Amino acid sequence: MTRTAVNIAGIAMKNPVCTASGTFGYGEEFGKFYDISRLGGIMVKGVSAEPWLGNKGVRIAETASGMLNSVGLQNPGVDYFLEHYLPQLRKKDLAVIVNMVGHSVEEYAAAVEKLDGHEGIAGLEVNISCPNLKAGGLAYGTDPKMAAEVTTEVRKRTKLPVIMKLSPNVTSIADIARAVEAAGADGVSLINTLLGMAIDVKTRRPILGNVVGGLSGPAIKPVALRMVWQVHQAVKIPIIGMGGIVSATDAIEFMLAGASAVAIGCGNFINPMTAVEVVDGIAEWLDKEGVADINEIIGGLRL
Amino acid sequence: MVLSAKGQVLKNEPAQPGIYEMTIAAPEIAEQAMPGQFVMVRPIYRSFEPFLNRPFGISDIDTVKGTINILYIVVGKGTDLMSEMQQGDDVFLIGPVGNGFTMVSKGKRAALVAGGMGIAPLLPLAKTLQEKGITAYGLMGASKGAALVGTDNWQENGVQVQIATDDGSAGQKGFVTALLEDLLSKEKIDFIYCCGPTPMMARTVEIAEKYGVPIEVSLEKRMGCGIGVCMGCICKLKQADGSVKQYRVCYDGPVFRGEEVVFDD
Repeated sequence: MTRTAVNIAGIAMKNPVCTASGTFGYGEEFGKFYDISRLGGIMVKGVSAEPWLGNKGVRIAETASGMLNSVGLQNPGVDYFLEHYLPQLRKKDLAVIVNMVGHSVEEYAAAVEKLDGHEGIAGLEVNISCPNLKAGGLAYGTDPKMAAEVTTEVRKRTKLPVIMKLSPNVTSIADIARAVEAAGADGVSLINTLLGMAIDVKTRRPILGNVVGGLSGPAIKPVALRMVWQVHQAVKIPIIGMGGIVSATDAIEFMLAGASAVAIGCGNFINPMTAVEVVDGIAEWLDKEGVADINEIIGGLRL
Repeated sequence: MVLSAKGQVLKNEPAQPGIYEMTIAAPEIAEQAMPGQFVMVRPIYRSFEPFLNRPFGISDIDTVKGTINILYIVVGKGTDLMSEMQQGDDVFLIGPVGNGFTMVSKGKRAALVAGGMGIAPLLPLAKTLQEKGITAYGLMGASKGAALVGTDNWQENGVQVQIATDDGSAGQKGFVTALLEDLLSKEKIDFIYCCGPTPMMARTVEIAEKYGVPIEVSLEKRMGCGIGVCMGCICKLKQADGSVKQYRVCYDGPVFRGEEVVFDD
């Protein structure tokens, strides 16, 4: 029996496999396929201080080995989450990491204030790929100063571990990681989706109602892996790696690159059993390789 | 319990030019499936091309043989690959997903209104209605006679069939909604079931409301996951207090009360 338990910024997980925000709802729907207590953790669908309706028009476009989405972070808001979903999630044996979103520093602050102090929340994951409406819609996560500002504001309002979810749409992800670390982040998760676009030549129109959207799936895995490796060298805080993971092999690659835990994103869509298959596959790999403790492989890339 | 399972293709043949009917051995799904539910289909097991599963209404449920059927029209990458599948091939399925139609009680009279491939979920429904001794009228609209599918199956299940085509190459020339107006003005109908293109369903709901007949529609939307988590297939429903709320077609539907649906796209 190998040890699969990991600890990310004080969040203990029995295995390193989580489900990425926006691909797993609040755990309810997947309960029809398997007991979600088999997972290490869940990053719930991003919640905002007040409900968001999301974007209009077509929200999903298929691409080569992946997909684009412009859902626009539709969510029922923090209050609804706390009342309807958290009580159910609390009964499960997995780390509940609440992903939160905002359009301004005030909105992030309002969300964290509502979330803080509720039993059953293991940590916060802060999505900084949202557009900053006061900075012309520029995403917080694309600027080290703005990313740090959000980190500081969230940090000072809670004792919960704060994990900043980094955007890949930047020149130097290491700079952003260093900025949020300096501002008090306990960990980082990466990568969020890559900004992309799809066009229908018949209508000569963009497929997505929002014109552009976030690319996810195996198509982005090499980019995600490279960024996890770069961030691992740049900061001391732990990393949750994600981006196109659909198998145990993919997950182990991220851990070798420096991730202490991983998350399954749209792999949940194409095969609802993906996350549990990754849990089982990692255990098998550890046995086969004779690795006594999964923590030994974190950042264990041989150069 | 929703299953993600491997099924086996037993038959995959054209029903009309460009339209295929696939019979899949999937006993556990057949055991649970209700008329109006659908399956997510992946033609190639463990491949990323095409990336997303495709939703198809279940067009036949055979619990004895342990099979389900789907009807599909070849429109793109996914359905093109599906059309090339052979007997014995594995196919990845998630299902049965979504909520099926509400059954009217014995002795009632129902109208089934289908547009094109929208007939698919109304086929197993006809079978169930016949078993329950419900009189069913089937109104089918298609672009042309060569695009008609499923009407034979309706007839075998005791449905009184009428057809409308855009070009008049089969049945009455014009829209299926004209057949419905005609039927409702002559016969007492207790419930309407409808599936087809959005404008056709919107018009059908208008007619149903005019005659005061309750109606259920099965919506079709581009889907990412089909299991309620990606928020790709949102529709809007009118609420009792006059407000409008967003719902997931795949998880909260695909069958909704027609009067509640906002047909704005």
